[in-house]
Amino acid sequence: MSRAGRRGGRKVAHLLEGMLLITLLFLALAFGSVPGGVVEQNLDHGIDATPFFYSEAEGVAQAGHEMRAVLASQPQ
Amino acid sequence: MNQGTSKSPLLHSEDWWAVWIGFAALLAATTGLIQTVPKLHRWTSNPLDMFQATGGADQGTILLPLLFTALLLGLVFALAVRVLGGRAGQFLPAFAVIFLLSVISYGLSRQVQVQAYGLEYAVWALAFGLLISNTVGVPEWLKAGARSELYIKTGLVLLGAEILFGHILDIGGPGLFVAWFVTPVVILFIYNLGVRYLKIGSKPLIITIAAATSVCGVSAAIATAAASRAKKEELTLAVGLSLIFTVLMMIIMPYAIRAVGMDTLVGAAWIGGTIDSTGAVIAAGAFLGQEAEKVAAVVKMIQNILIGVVAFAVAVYWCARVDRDPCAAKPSAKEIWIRFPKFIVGFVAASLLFSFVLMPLLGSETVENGILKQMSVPLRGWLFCMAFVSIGLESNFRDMASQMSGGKPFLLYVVGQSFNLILTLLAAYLAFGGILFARLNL
Repeated sequence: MSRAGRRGGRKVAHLLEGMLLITLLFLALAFGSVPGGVVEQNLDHGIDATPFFYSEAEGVAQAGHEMRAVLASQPQ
Repeated sequence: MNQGTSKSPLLHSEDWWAVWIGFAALLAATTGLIQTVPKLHRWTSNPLDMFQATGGADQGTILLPLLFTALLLGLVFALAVRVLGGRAGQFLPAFAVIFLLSVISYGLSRQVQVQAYGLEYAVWALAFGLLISNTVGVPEWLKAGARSELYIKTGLVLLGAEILFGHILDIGGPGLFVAWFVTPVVILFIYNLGVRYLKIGSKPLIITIAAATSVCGVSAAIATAAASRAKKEELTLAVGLSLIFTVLMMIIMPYAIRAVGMDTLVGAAWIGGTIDSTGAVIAAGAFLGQEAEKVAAVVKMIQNILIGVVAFAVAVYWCARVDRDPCAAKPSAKEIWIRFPKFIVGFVAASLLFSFVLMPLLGSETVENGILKQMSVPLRGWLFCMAFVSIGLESNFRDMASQMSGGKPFLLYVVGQSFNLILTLLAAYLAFGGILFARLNL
């Protein structure tokens, strides 16, 4: 096999290794056992700990509104 | 070099294009021309569910709106690339692939278990980009679409609209004290630690890590890296450190608070002031109870408002002090302006416009639940996701390893975060423990 062919083969092998790692990580997370505590609670209550769309405009905004009202009513 | 042809920077600089595109999007949202930008939905076992809304008002598939979003974004950015001197014909197919990789990355972060662990989109976007660039390599044609800086700067202009200063006005003292007293102190501490004691060569890397640690993780890192002109590998490193420690802190901190029997509200404020990502703050706060969740959320939200202030201050400091020739005289205001990253102007202008004009004019419901939630926020999310895919495609492990410089950035993050934890705990105790302010009655 030519040098270019071997180099190409190595690259594909590295790509497959990387894809395997990502797949394993994903499968471990998706179907593996989940440790208790915060993660379990997130699952039970559908809490999203990945704020892709900035939480300010998601459900957190509501918490913020309620909290601001409470804070504003407190004696300083 | 400009050979006599006077090209207007307003049309021929990437910064200004980011401002124009960002404001065009905000104008389209404010006038109702574009009302929503699609978001992928949560899914459990079938990835295709991410395209299908199963409940609520927005039922049905989002495939068509998603394609329309990609097409519109592609055309707008192609126009920008064309005017900036690139080739629109080469850009468009590459953009399509980068958008597709963004859909896959964002889709992975919408899986319920992945969400529960707090592994956000940036992890997957960087992973896919790095995987391609460090294995088979990035084909020449695909590089045309990897305009990470243009996506980041445009996304930052949109982020500015989300930084609503009005929220500060009606908030009580305790949250402000925790969020705003600690953050500047921690930034200065980490910056001095990195420059003077650890002697890390790259100041942009130090300030990016400082902002990620003390303000709000990924968004703050993006804004500060852009303001200080950090390298892509430096931003990747800062974001990577922040993402890893966010997950660890989200899992460990609530346990620690319960284990030592700490006051729940003090613990919640501690969580809000220290965990980098807003989503992880909510998750950790919720573990302590509903009230704790709200306190943690509001402290984090007040802290998030500092993104704009920090990015602006860093941009000015870099132009006036860091980037200037040490032998030259003090730069004039005009020179500072010439070097100033102009998208920061758009970022601050969007924040001021939304905080002091549109919020009073249109009301919180229209601005927050309409313009921001439905259009600006998801669009900004897509732009940042594309930026991270592009950064991954443009980075290689060798350059990233060289940024580690003997583990110093890691040490900087760990020591800085430890300092942040101690100082925030003290501030949380003073503010929410009934010492400086009356105890909250929730």
